[in-house]
Amino acid sequence: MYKYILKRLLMMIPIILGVSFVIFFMTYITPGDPAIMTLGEGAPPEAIEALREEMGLNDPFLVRYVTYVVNMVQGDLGNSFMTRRGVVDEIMDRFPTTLMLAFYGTVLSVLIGIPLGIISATKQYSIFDNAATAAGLLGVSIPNFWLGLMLIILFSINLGWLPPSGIATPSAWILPVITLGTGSAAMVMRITRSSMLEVIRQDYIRTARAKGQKESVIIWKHALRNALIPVVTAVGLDFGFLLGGAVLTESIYAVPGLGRFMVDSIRTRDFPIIQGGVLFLAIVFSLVNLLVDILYAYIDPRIKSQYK
Amino acid sequence: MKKILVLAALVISAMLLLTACGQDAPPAAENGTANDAGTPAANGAAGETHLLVVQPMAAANLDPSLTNDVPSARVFHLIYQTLVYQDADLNIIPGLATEWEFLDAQTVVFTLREGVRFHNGNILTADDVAFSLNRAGQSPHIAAITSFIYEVEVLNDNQVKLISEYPFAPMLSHLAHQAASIVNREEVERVGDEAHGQNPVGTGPFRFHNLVAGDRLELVRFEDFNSVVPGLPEGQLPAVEQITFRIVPEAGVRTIELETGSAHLLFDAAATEVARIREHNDLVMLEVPNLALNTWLGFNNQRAPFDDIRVRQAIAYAIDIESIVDVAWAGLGQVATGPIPTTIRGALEFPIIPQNIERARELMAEAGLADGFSTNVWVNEGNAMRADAATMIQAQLRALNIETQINIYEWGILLPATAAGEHDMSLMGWTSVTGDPDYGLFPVYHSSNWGDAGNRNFYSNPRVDELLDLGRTSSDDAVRMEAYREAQILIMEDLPLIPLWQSVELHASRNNIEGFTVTPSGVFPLWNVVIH
Repeated sequence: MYKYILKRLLMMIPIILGVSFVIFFMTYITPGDPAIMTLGEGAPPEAIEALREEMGLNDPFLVRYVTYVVNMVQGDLGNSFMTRRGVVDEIMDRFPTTLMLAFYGTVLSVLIGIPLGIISATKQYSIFDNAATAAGLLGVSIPNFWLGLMLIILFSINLGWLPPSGIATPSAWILPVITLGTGSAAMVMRITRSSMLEVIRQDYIRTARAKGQKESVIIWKHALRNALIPVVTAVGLDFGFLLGGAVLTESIYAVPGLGRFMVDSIRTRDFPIIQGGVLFLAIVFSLVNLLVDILYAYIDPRIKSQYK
Repeated sequence: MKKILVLAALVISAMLLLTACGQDAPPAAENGTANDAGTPAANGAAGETHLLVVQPMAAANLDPSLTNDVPSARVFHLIYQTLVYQDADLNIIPGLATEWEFLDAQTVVFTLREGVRFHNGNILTADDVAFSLNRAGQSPHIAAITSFIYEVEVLNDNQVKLISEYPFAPMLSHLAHQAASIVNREEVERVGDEAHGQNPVGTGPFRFHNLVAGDRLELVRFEDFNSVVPGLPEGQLPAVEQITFRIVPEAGVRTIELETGSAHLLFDAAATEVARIREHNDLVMLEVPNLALNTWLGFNNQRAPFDDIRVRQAIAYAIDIESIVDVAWAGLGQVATGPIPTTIRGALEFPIIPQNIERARELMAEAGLADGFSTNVWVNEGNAMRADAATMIQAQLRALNIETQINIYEWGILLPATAAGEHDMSLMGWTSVTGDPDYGLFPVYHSSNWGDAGNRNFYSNPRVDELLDLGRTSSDDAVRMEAYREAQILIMEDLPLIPLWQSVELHASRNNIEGFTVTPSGVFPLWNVVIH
């Protein structure tokens, strides 16, 4: 198992190099001069040239890329063109917020989605199943920006219970987490339901019932564990995407997360932030995938035996 | 399964702990009246000394030499001071300098206010001033404001001599801009530019307290403030003890923050929110004409057929300027009446060119273009009002058989392309940030500034160049104003662009706020604010 983890970690090195090259090349060919974007309209040409030099934009592509990689290996991803701060500092200032939002959103989606999915599957075609399916469809269909605004109107304006935006207090997290979690919960519910339906029709479940095993034990111990693999995959992927930034949710609730920051950086051609941010997210996404794979082993010992 | 549950419980606990650790402690004012920022309850408890502001964008950097964006300038205005200030009528008044004397057209000696204290306890010296302005003069980030500075020399403990690169009449209005703020040399050299940009030290009435990247910036009153700022009697401290600027990108949510009392002030209200704010009983909408000729219909004057004045005039007659402004900008602001906004000193007001299709057709026929032509108009992405204006122009030009393609590009593409002259027409604008006619006219209409420097319409008229040079270099104000008067008349005769919309500063406050003055520059003296 440890050997497998080590192997996967080593495999991340070519991934990081590949991602760094692709993103560096893409920012290189992207139209738009960061020096002009920084200085705005009416900047004297000599000031633009001086800033281009300061930003290192006049060097050939390969020189810039090799310098970037050498610095990257030493943990230096450069400085933001806009704020002048270190890229690592900028990212690490925002990533904990994004991580919290993604984590709580995912926890909420699991807490809602898995129980609903199980009940839907075990009571297939019942009123509850139909209601849960309809709710799930609604959850997937409602856009986050609309749901976010509706929640603000209800809880902040009409009821006055929660702040409309920000992260200054614990209560401020409630609305963004609900906004993010409900959409994912619908997806988790649908996957749990279909996976459970498949599992509870297996012979070993029938055998357990024939042996007189209690239904709750059959569902929670025998069926759920075997039905969890696709659910874990989906939740893991969803979590990874949320770490990339729930841009709309972050914008509506003024959550200072990585997603909003990255989008702003793309708009202002803040290349070091774009490059560093994408690289960072590639690493995080790889780690999340590795964690999901490790989780498989805990859920299903048969998979563990394959990790060598 | 149990293992998984235990693992999950451990992870959740760790995350909760992390969250708790990740929250910044509530900002504390110097007198200990700390309040939690950003929640209605907390705001209620904030008493009347903690001013909460919501705005769409964060200050990019807190070092005045490293950025030139408006949100940063608003903070510089509170943290730092400049040698001189401009009053509400854009007249120059003393700041850190108590007096100044021009030795010649390029040299001025400033006498400094004595005993002024920086936030770190240091006393302001002539060396700090020389260091700050020499640094500003070298910075590409603020070159449009400070590149005229050739050298600043220390004469004695409280006098400096500033020498400009060339005779530069509007020098004082440039020195009143936040880009020319005075920093503490010792502090900047001790911590470096980057760190100073995150933890700045100035002499202003508020000092830096805390920054949460992308979320909020907190300032607290500088209890040892002993200088002078406009509107605040000497020796008096601001009534507000603490200011928190929060970043709320969504326009509607910003309004909700103000409506629910989570904020006292809202900077940069979206046009779509104005009606809602006006109708709210507890809110006050503040609309003040600003320093921007926000949008013009510019022609590429070097490219056929726009190099023919008759075509430019024909287009001016073909479009209904008032209806375009009324529809696209929803009745906000006003129709622009000249090459610089009316808020600028010496601006002339010209009659709005009336729509006259017959006259437009005659001019097109005279230019040999009775059958019309195909062209394009470039607009920046994300500006719905300009896009609407472009659509109306497109429709109205069909009366002259002119087929107009609307090219909407983001700034990253639009700026270099228009600087390179790839466009036929464009909807762009210009803000005269110093309030002096030189800043509004020289970059946009002088032929030496074709391209990036501001003249994206590639306009050239030797007489206008002469007049703008005279206005820039003459130390006689009457001569300057006469030069600018004649230049404006010539520009409107040449019509290198059609002025469309003069914009307004749109800000809002709750009705318990007193002393919030909206200035045309969009930079506010919040030290005068009182919360009731």
